[in-house]
Amino acid sequence: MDRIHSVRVLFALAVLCGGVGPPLAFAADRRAQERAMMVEDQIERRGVSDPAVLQAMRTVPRDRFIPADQAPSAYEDRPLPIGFGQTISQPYIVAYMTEIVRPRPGFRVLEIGAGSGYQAAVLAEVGGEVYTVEIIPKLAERARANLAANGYERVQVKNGDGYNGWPEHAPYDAIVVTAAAEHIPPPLIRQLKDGGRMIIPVGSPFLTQYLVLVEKDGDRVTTRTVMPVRFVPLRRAGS
Amino acid sequence: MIAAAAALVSCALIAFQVALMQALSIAQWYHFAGLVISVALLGFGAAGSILAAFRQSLLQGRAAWPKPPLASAQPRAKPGRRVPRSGTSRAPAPLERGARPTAYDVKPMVDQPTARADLVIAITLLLCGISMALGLPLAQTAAARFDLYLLFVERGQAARLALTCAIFFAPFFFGALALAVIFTSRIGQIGRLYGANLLGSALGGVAALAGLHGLAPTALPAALGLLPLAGSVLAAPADRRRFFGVAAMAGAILCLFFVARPPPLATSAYKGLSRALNLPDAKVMFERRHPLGHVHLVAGPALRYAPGLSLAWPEEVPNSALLFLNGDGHAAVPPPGEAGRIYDFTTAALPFTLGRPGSVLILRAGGGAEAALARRHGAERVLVVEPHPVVADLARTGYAGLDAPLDADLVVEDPRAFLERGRGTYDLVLLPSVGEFGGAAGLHAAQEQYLLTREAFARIWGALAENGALSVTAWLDYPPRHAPRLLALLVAMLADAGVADPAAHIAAARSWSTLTFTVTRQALTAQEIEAVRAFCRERQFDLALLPGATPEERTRYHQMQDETLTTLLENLLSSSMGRAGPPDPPRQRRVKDAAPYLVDRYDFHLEAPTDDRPFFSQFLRGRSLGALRALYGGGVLPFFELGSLVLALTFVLVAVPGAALILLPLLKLGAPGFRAARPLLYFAGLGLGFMLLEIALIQRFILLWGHPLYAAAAVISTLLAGMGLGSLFSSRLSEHAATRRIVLALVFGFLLVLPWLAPALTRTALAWPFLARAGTTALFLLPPAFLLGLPLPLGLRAIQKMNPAWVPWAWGVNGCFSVAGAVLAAWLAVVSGFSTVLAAAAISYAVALLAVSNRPPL
Repeated sequence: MDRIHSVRVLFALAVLCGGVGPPLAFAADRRAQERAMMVEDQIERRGVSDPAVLQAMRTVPRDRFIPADQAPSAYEDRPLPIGFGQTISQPYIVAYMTEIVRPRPGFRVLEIGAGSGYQAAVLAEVGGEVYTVEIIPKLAERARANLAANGYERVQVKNGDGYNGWPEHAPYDAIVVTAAAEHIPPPLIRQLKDGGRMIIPVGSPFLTQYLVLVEKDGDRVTTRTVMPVRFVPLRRAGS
Repeated sequence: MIAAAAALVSCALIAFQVALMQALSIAQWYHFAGLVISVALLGFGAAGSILAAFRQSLLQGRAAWPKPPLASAQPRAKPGRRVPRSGTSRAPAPLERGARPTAYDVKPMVDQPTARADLVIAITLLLCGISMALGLPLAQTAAARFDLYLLFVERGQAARLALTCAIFFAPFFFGALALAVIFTSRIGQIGRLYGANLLGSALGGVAALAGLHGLAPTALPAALGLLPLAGSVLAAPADRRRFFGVAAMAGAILCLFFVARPPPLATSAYKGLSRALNLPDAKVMFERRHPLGHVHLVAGPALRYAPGLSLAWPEEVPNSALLFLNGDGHAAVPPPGEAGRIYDFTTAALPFTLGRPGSVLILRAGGGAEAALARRHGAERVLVVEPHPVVADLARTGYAGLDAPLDADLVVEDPRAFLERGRGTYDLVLLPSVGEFGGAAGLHAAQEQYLLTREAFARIWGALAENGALSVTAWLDYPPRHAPRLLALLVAMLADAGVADPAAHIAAARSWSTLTFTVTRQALTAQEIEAVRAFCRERQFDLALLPGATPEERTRYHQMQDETLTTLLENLLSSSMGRAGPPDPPRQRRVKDAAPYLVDRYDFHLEAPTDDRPFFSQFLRGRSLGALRALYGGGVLPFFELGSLVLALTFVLVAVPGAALILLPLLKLGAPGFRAARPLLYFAGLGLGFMLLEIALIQRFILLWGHPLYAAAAVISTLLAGMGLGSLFSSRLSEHAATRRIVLALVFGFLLVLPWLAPALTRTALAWPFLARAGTTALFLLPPAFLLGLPLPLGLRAIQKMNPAWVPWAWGVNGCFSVAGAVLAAWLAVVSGFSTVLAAAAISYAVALLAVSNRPPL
């Protein structure tokens, strides 16, 4: 009897594997293809070239870091709403911000504004020791869950006010601010390592107009406006 | 009774429009005002078309109704058999030349109101009242609730917007259908009834403003539903009045329920208020509704405000409370004693480096931070002009206990009106900052900003003391738009004032996110230049503009990725050289060469706005779309200028059904073809022309009234009152072609002089007290409005004589072109200015004039 039961279970498993496995594998392949196309069309074409960053963008499943109803748009060339008036950045902005802070294995990075956890996952994928702070409790919970579910358990998530940074783990090689305020919080500058870089996107929820790179050199703090794309400002007649 | 019913529903429909505008403005943004007007007009157009298509059922039931000449004369043609064109054979012959027409020269047999018609009127008024009560609650359900920010992101959002439009369409449609049946079933009394309609509408504007003072915008629509319900009882046939009394009572209970428990208004998740309240422990400390904007004061441990704070600021950033108007950020309220200190480390402190100002004028600054900064720098007299009375009250009383009372004199007035009064001169004038941190996604593109026009800046220049200065801060954006356009405006001001070398009068400091311009009446002295240089060095700001500044000083602390901004600022300044002062042909030629290069070749509009085209935040040019799409991606392109896109979307949403409303009844009526061309042009011209004129006047009168809501109420009420009187008077006139030609010629003449009259009037009366402005508006608009009220009832009477079946169709055509006119006017104003809108209105009336014919049809 037990033997018959075992056979039935094995048969059921076989049916399941045969019936469900291929579609799941097919969906995963399709998503991987979409990511590869996203990297080629949206990111490399706009000038991001760091191999580690490109590989991270090909690897991290963006579709699993957004609300289910947004999943079909996961790899489109635009930000996506994630609730609470917040968005997940356009893929190339995520890639560019990751590249500009010059990631390398073992570097320590603080992210302000975890959102859904996607940017933190990309930073972790390039080898960073990532700490992320999210002020909205439900988003912090969601980011923690998303990161854990996709294998990024080592990313530490804290629910709190990003203005204060995360002094316990300071100083940081880099700070990535995804939820910018109209001032740069002095605690973040203090928590930035000498020679470290902080990147701040400036724009409305669905349009990053430009990025501000803050560089600390001793007491001297300077900023630089950067964008992976260049606007051709003045057109001459006939151009 | 029937006239009273017409007046009641007309009053309700206009007030309902204003209430919806206010509610949508709070929940989303003001852009939907145009959509509400268009949906309302669509309701009117649809009502006319439905009546045209189902005239017999609605007016006569199954009883015999004399078939309209055209319809009765066009039996179904058998293949190959020619149907005689007898549409005009049964129409009354035109009046003989020289014959004196009577006032009621219409067929009495068609004029007789029937019990069926009165029943339809009562039912539609009942439905109108009920749909008014249910409109907002239904629109706030999950199925219909939309978010402007998501319209171009989520596919379902456009469908939700369409559903919202359909929900709001219902009361307008039912109300308009009631009016259309009233008019059509009593065409002989059209003058009196149309007059009651317009006078009721005129009262509606006033009722809306009064209602918004006492009721929440979410409760007002339900309260207004009571008016058509009362109308349904008045209009009901005598034998059914009891039934309608009971039904109206049930409807009234529904209305009162939603007045007592208005639906909560779900505001966009992307509005500043929503985002502030998402933060932990953020609380609304104060809330008060007002027609000029719902005020919220929010405080919380995570709220801080220090625009473009210097990286040299040595301390923590203190908490600030934030003031919101209709959910959008209005001002920050820093804690007592902190404002002056921290604002001293922003670029906004630049003008105070020039010396201690004795008197400071602060325009639209209800938060108190600028006043604190001025006091910190020793200003003896600080005068704050704040247009919102509730914000002003808050400032006087210490912001609900969060701060000390404003340490300044306070004037509650629109800043532009204050400037027009020309009261005194000041050592320093501070303007509100331009743009928003990170950009406002182009939300303000279609919004009139009369404080940021060449004419306003000329007044500001006039308000400066001999050694005075003005200062204004722009948020930086990329590609650069706000700061260069602001400089263009400042340079134009200096040129208008006869300053030959603007560069000698302008200093500008730049942080990583803000740029502050300070413009002095006298050329900057060496001592002042050195003081500015020291200020920028200490605060780690760059010298964006300063006489003698080196290229290194321009990007010492905050480098730019390219030289776009620097190039634009330098070129705008240098191209202005020689624009003022005595004529100097060689220099003028250089200017002519340089300015078009910048203003015309740049991918965004940079020209200084004027009162005729006061859209400072409208930057986008169609030709730049391709380049922006390539750079930023098509998915984010809409967020460069949402305001313009909403205009386009509105047009699509109303133009498509609007066109269908004209074509479908034509098919039903048997395709009158070419013979319908003249009536079509006549009624289309009237609809389009009136709406272009009305929207242009509202936009122009915002300057006079200080707020779009007041301007809309004043203009709509005055125009409709005048038109109502005109319609009443129309019963005394013949509908003969000659009469209509004279009336339309007078209207055309008025429109020709209006582009010169209106600006002169608004600028002159701007500084007058409320009652004087109201009187001026009435005196100015009533006479032309009286004339505008004549052509439609006269035309309807004329077409009634030609072919009664065309009356509701003509009404529908008029309504549909009004819909198109509302959107067209908004678009034309943005791209070409109010003068163009008025010219288009004149052309529309000219077309109507040319369509008048001595021969039928029309």
